[in-house]
Amino acid sequence: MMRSRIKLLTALLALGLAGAGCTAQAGAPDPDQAGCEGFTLPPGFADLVYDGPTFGRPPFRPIVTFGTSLDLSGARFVRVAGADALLPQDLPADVTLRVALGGDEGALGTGYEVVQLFYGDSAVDESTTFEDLIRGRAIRFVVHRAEGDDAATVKSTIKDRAALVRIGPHDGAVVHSDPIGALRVRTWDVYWSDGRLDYSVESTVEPDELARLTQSLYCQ
Amino acid sequence: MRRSPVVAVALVVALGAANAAYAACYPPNKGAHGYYLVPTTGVRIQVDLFNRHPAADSAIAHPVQITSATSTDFIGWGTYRSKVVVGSCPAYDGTAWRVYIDGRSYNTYFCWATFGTVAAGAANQVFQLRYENCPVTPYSGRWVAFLNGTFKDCERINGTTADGVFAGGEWISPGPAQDIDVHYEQAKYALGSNWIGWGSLAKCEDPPCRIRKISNTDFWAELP
Repeated sequence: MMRSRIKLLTALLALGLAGAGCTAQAGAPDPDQAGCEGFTLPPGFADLVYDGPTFGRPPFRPIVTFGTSLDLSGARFVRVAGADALLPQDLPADVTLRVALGGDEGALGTGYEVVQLFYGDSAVDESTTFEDLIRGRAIRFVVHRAEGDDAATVKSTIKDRAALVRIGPHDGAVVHSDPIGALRVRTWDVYWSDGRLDYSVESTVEPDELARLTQSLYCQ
Repeated sequence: MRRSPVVAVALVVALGAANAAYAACYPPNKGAHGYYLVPTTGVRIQVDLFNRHPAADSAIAHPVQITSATSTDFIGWGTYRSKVVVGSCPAYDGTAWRVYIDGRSYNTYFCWATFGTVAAGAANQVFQLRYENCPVTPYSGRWVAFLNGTFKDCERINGTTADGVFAGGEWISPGPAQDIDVHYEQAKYALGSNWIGWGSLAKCEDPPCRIRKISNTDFWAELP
């Protein structure tokens, strides 16, 4: 049912009939095209890691401090930097939206330049950090105005630590992160851009779940 | 899309209280640092370096840092001594301090590069990070590092904005506790084209570390 609605909405977008708040996405997808079939990662990719000595980093902040709370219950789009960002529709069954935040990057006063959605299998309160959230199954979904964080840039920046995939009509880059925090959790991440907006996902769900989640933005 | 006014009010309260909420300091390493949580696109601080404990073990660093507001990525820009290789940065156990830049880029850790040394006990070393156009082609829109006003490096992380500015001293155990006493002067963050002082607003991350406020832009981070 949900996928049918997405397909209909996608068609409306392609025809330019979606109306206010539903402007056409760059590269509106054909649900039958390649890029909807899951991820194929190179052999041994999951084992690539740097787990040696590192200089430290400041502690993680509570996630609610990243912006102003938004009510995105049931929303399929969110307005970001003058464009409509698609939101995930195919989520793992045990993961739900815990908090959605809008912020104006750099306090530049230009409206919501970035939106961050945090999904998890446990509740979020005012002290919960991302490090806390990824103790369980969790997803951080971020959309911001395009700043060059596309798959090609990710690949050229971190080389073999990124694997190229397709996210519907767009190139994506999958990363298996280096250990995070005291618990040494490793996340599965995806980065892509539609040309107007850059998307990223950090998650502790499995790559096949991550593929369904990200490709659900564009595929039936 | 609409804002929830109740939650918004709660967030404002949370923002005001967040400075006192932390209980850890540079995990899994130890140290002391001053910080100020503010959306920003840059940090610039003048540092007086301190001498390490003569029995210091694995590594000591005093970075100026920013953390991305939209990811787990961060950048550290400062000096270190280390008896072990850290990422791709070599061990350096000389008498001076080696200048380095490290961080997480798209959630992978790199000690990206080193840039010579500054003398032990060197004063008035100005470290600056800012999101701006890189002066070296073909880069654009990167985090650009300057030392004493001289361009050194450009690095890309996932994020164009920091959620806070940080400066401190840390060590990688094992090793004896360090008498960390780092002097930060002219501590500023970027807001648009302006640089704004935050020294008098600096907080300390983890008692018993403490901040001694010297002026509106100067603070010392101390860990007895």
